[in-house]
This record gives sequence, C-alpha cells and structure tokens, in this order.
Amino acid sequence: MISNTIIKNIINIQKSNLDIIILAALSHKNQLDERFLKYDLFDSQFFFEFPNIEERKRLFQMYIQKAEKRAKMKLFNVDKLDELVKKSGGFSAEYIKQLISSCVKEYLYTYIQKKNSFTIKQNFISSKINDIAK
Amino acid sequence: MFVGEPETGKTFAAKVFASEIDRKMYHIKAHDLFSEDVADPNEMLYIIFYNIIDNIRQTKESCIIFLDEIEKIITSM
Repeated sequence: MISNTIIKNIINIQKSNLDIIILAALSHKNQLDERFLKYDLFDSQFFFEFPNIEERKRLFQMYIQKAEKRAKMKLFNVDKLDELVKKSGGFSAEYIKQLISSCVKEYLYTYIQKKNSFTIKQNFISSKINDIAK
Repeated sequence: MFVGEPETGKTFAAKVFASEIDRKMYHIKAHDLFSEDVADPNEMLYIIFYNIIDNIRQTKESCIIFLDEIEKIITSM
C-alpha cells in the first residue's frame, strides 16, 4: 500500500510547477518493487562504492592528521601507511574514522598511564590497526 | 536516485548536495516511518507529503525531499 502513496506523490510533484528536487537512497536494487522501477520516476542514478585504495589513503591521512593535531603529538608511523591502506579493502569512510579515533583513544590512555616509564612505541597505532585489518 | 551499499555515503552526499545548492532538505527515513510511534506509516507518509507540498505552495521556496532507505518504504508486494 505504501508504494502507491509515494508514487502518486512523486508524480504529483513532477506535474506541479513546484521547485522540489526528490532524492532517494537505495541500498539493494533487487529489493525494490519492479513496478516501481517501471515508473521511471528518477532522472538519473548515481552509484556509490566503498573508497578505493587512493581514497582510503587520503582518508587515513586526513583522520590521522586531525588526530595528531588534536593530541598535539606525533602518533603515527607514516612508513607503514601504504601497507595499512592495502589491508583495509572494503572499509567505509566512517569505519576508518572510528578505527583511528578508537586507536588514538587507546594510545593516549596507555600514554597517560605509563607516563613515568615512557616506553610506548611510536608505531603503536599502525600495529593496532594492522591487527584489526587482518 | 542514489544507489550503493550501506555506509558508502549516500546520506552524506544528499546533505552536502542540499547545503551546496542552499536548499532546505526534508529527510524522510524509513527507519522513523516504521517505528513503534507511528500507527499507520502510509497515512504518516501522506501527511508528510501533504504538509511539505502545502508549505512549499505557501512560501514558494525551493526544497529537496530526500527519501532515505527507499527499498524499505516501498515494500515489495
């Protein structure tokens, strides 16, 4: 029943002279009613994919940079970045963000606890992310 | 229509699009529509559309209607 309401409304808006753009987000195309696709309600389709290797590298760099700026110290061993980017295939941007923030939190927590002995290695975060990427 | 797996940035793209062209965006989520608070999703959707169109007619503004998770709104019958 619900699909009729939506189809009628979209067609009404298209017929009217109102300045309305209709966007729709769809995750699984085969889940959609075939009859809905026959109406051809949308002018164009845009396909979204998970970030590729270059985009992932930029995402990692961006979030690491932000985290280091916030923490005001060097947290990450940049040499291992390429290896990391290769291992993180299929990660979404949000996941990369969460991953780095959780690693940074854990690192800083350990840093504060062990401040007196000061034995934390510089590449803690890369090794941490490597563990997760495996 | 934006097609892609979850977490690939469809909703984010819609928000960026709306702010770039400086339009108000009505974000209709399937998740909210089928929550326990809504007795009749169909009627709810009708009311939402009616109110948006009514509002746009009166103010003569331009806007975006964003139907998120449309595959859940349009249930295969």
